[in-house]
Amino acid sequence: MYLILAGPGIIVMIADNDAGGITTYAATGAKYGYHLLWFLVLLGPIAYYIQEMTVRLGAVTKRGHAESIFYAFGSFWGWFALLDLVLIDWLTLVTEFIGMTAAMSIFHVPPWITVSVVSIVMALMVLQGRYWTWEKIAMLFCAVNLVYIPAAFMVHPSVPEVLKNSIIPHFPPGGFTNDLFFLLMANIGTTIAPWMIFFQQSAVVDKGMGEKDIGMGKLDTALGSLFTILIAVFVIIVTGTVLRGMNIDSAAQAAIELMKTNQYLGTFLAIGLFDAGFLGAICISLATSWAFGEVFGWAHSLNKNVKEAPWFYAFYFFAILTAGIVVLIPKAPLVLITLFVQVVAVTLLSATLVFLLILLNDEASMGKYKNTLWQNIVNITIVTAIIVLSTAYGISTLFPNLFMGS
Amino acid sequence: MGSFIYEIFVKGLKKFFADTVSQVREINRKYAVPQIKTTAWTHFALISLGVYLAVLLLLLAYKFITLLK
Repeated sequence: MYLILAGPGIIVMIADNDAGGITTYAATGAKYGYHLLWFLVLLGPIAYYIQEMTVRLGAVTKRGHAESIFYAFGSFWGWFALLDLVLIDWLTLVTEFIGMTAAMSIFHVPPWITVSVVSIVMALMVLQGRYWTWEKIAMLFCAVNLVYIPAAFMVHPSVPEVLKNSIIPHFPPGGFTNDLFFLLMANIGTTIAPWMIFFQQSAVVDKGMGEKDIGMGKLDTALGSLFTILIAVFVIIVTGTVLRGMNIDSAAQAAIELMKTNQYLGTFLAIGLFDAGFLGAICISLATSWAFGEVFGWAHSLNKNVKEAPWFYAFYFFAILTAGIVVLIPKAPLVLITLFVQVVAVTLLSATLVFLLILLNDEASMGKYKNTLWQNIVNITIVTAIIVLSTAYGISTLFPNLFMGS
Repeated sequence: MGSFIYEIFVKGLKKFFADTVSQVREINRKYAVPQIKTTAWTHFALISLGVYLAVLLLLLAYKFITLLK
């Protein structure tokens, strides 16, 4: 039964470890070794609690997240969320292509070939005409993401040290600095992203999950959050063991550095980076198409073919092609785009989390599946903390020296 | 050739934008009234969110202006 219903939770959680995510984990390990493993372990349950709400909301209301916001809060907040989502998804899609082209350039594959092949594969995945098939292919790519696990064993980490740093919360030697703050926030930002909320709720609806499937949906999300954290931890173990003390700007740079010590290790990291970018790209582009389809009333299901849902697919292809082309433009401001993503994401993340909490407390539409007192205590605490920290992160991106000197 | 391009692209684009505008109007009509039960807590949360986003927007605008200078 689980194998039939498994999918949205696992896919969204593993795709959450996208190209930007792998870069963040690689930089975290290289800079602070194993010292921040406990923080990543802590983010697992947090991601679960947020995403679990989308399962209940989608299964009970049968509406995607964009449609839910329009329906509940009216067109002003609806347009704000939808247009913000389109902007941030497209920018994030660009960063996924940056990650994929960087990873393949390690194997001397020119960017235009990477962009072309990826676009064709992404098109074939959706054009086969069934959500179920798309989901199972996506899960195969999720399995490739587990490549970091053997990579971590290859570097022979100190298991007691890994376990100690995973369980006991502490700051690395040097204390709380601006760099540490920035990396902590980047890890939160990569674990909880607005597109994930839109994607999972729409996927639950497209898959046809109902109230009776909520239990399995929760299990799927719990397993997904376990895998996402495992992958993050194993990336940190790899770079924390081999590249400790180095300043890493990108996962591709980490892969190149790792190749100098062990060619297989660098290859694993590069394959993982490509796969992460690919998973992120297929989920993000779908999240946008679903959202637009829901609001505009277009047919918007992977179970429909191009003739039946032309605008849904047109949006999907338009997003992929334009994002791919931007990466191929010489001297495109890619670093600026990456920074801009972080700031704009904050605005949508805060709004989406507030909407999510309000929607999950609406007895009229949620009935017995509305948040319990305990769920509200946990979720309001998490949402408040995320909003405060992500806002601080967004502001520190705009004004780097505002909070601390070092 | 010129009239062919005009027929296909210019008229097509005009129709696309006209259709989109009418669709947006339709969506605005459909979702004109928020359906969620407005409790004091909901009201407070939405107003706080609006203020918060306005402040963020001002900070972004300030950053842009200082960058341009």
